Amino acid sequence: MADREPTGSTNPNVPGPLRGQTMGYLGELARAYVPPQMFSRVWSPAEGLAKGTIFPELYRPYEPGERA
Amino acid sequence: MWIYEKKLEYPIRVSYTNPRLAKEVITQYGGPDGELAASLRYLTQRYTMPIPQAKAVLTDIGTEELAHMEIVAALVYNLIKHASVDEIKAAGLDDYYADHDRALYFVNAAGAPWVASYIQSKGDPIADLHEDLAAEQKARATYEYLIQLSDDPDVTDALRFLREREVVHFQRFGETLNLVHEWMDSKNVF
Ligand SMILES: [Fe+2]
Repeated sequence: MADREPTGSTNPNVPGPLRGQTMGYLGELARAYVPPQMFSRVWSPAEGLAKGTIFPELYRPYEPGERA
Repeated sequence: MWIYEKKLEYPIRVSYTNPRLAKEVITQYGGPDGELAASLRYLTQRYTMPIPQAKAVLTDIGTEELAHMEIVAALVYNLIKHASVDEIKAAGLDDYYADHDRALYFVNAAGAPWVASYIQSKGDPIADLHEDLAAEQKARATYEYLIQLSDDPDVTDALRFLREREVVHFQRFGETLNLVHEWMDSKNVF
């Protein structure tokens, strides 16, 4: 989405910039967005296996007790 | 078709016999947000995805969920295979034992059997992908509850791996949702 207009919309039925209507968020109303992952550095296969992902930006370790 | 690797995606061990923990972890085998439901949901929904990338993501993740089902099965079985009947009774697993001995069966933590109504296959790719995003979050939450309930560091280690995979799957389904929206916009199909 980085190379898109601020509306983020490729829908030809969506008129004009929608930035004001979306409170500063990019994209059109009434749909969900997950930002696309941009490839950057990766961990080794061994470290990726231990952590569950080779992508540092997707690693979200959980510590119990936060809301237990 | 599939190619079977005679090893687990993630190596597991358990510290000791623990039918109480098995009774809880089994929900990720046959519960509403478990790995059987996840794999069957994705492998079924893929037929009505409109673009090859979406079919491929559902096939890949559905396949990985089968591998996770196998990991959960190995965890549960290793926790109960040496349990005595007295230990099983003390853990409240005697109801399960009456029907299944120490065999694996698709039930949730309370013993309710798996049902197809845990999953949907809607024919609408946007609706299906939103279900898949939600399914990943529900599976992540379940793994967090199981980590809270686990008193076995080896089991916790495997649960952490499986939980992180759900985070990655959520990202992939989100990217797939964007691709399907772009495809629909380009086709001007509303
Ligand atoms: Fe998943």
